[in-house]
Formats: sequence, C-alpha cells, structure tokens
Amino acid sequence: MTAGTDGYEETLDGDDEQQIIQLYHHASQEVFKYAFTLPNMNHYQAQDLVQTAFEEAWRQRDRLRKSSLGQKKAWLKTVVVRREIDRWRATGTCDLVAEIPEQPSPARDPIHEVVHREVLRRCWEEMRVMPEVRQRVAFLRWALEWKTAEVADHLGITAATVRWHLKQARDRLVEAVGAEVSFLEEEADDGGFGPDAPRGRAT
Amino acid sequence: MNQNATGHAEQKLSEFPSWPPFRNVNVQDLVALEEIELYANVIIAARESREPFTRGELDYILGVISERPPTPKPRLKQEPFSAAQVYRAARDESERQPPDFDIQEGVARFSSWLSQQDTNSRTESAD
Repeated sequence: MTAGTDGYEETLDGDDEQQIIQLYHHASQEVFKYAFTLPNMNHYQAQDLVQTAFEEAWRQRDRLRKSSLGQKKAWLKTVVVRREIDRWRATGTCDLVAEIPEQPSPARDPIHEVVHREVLRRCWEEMRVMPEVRQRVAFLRWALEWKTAEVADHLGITAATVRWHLKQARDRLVEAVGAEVSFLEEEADDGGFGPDAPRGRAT
Repeated sequence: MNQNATGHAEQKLSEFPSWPPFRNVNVQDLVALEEIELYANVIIAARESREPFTRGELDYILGVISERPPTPKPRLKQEPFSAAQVYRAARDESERQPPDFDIQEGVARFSSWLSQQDTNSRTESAD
C-alpha cells in the first residue's frame, strides 16, 4: 500500500468500503467546493452532486483502483460536472462516466499574480447573480472551453444568443472591476476544444 | 475674510492656515473634536489614495504610529485579460473559500447508501 497526499493510501486494495470511505474523507470537501462553483448551484444541490459522484466512484471502483488521489479527485469533479450539465441539456444525454484524467491539476493562470483576490471575489459575486442561462453559457464557454456552436446546441439556443449572453456577462464584469482589471478589447469568438474533443473536462 | 448680513465673520475653509480648521469654533467637547479631526484626516487621505489602505497606512493616518510604513510592492504591470481568464480566475478563487460542508454528515449519508447496496446485492443473490 502506498502512502499518498495527507496520509491517503493510494492503492484501493483491501476492504473496498473502507477504501471508498477513506477517499470520501480526503476528496469530498474539494469536490463539494468544485460543485458549488457550478451555475446557480445551492448548498443542497452541491451535496447531492458529491453523493452522486461517490456513488459513481463505487460503481467504477475497479477502474479507479490504481489511480492517484489527484486523478480520483479530478475524476470525481468530472462526474459532477457531467451530471450537472447533462441536466441542462436540451436534447439527448452526454456520457456520464468520465475518463480518468492524466493531468489532474491544471497550471495556475498568471492572472492570479496580478489581480487581487478581493477583485476576483467581486467578479464571482457578479457572476453568481446573473441569469441562470447566462451562468451556464459562461461556464460552458469560458470554463470548459466549448465552442459557441456546441454551447448553443447543448442548451437549445442559437449561437447568436450564446454570443449575446457572453457579451452581457463580459460587460457586467468590466463594469464591476474594470477599474482594477484590464480586459482585452476584442474577445475571441470561438476556440477551445475541437469537435472530437471530450466534453465536460474538469478544470 | 468677508462679513455676512449678521456681521459675523465668514471664512472659507481654504483660508485657514493649517489643519485642523475648526479650533476657533466654540466647541466644548474636545474629545469629540479630536475624533472628528481624525475622521476627517481619514476621509482626506482616502480621497487622495487610489488603493485601499493597508493596516499600517491607516495607523499612520490616525497617528498610532509616527513613521509611514513602506509602500507596498507595486503590482506587476497588468496585461489585458480575456473575460474567460477573469472568469476562470474568479472561479478558482471561489474554490479557495472554506467549504460549508459537513463531512461527517456526508460520510453517514454515503455509508447508508453503501449499506443499501450491500442489502440489495444480498437479496439478488438469495433470489
């Protein structure tokens, strides 16, 4: 058995139930915080998503057995986000069972070095009070980097509406923190993942 | 200095030679006057500052310490950011806040679900 982060045993041998409870102790708070950043999320919904993710982890325990704690956390977050955006989907469903990520911790953006955290908190407060559909559009486009057409298809709205929501969200952020943060004049209209790229990557 | 209709002297604030300006006003409560003076000093300093005060700067303005604290290290020159970058950074920052999550309650709920799974699988085996 291998000792991992904060005493977590990386291997899932032995009693499966004990192992998943151990994982719960080490990962659930982080997964909850992640779930709570999803659009229009309340405390109880975030708790339910954590429960759902761990239920899925139990079903997929054989696949997760050899993953590191970081990979398991990233996998749990991916399940959380896929379950939630699946709920928003206008048509069909997306794949709920996530792949185990190879890079669980993305590099920190240099913006953190130059923009005060209080300013970022104000930005987030602004985002949290925006209309629900705008929060979803911003999350899919800006956090998950879906293409505009993909966002439109997923939410059952037009690409022009997606762009309009993004502009409204950007304008609101500029209004709120434009004195402290320098924004690009022109925002790229599209980019991010290609059409064959996996959806619902945990960020 | 001008005289008004009642013959009392009027003096513009800017004509007072130095701060505090109201020493010659007939005020008996000197403690209150000191507090007003300190408050006014903070307001004036706030008007002239583009950044929020640090605790040390506020102490200096209020006269708690006699030497002005060193100026905080200037921020790096800010390149413009996309709204997506700002959004992601703000979201990251929100994840850094302490969670309002009762882990014991969560464990109890999840353990209960695990027990139910165990019961279900035993029932299926028996059938």
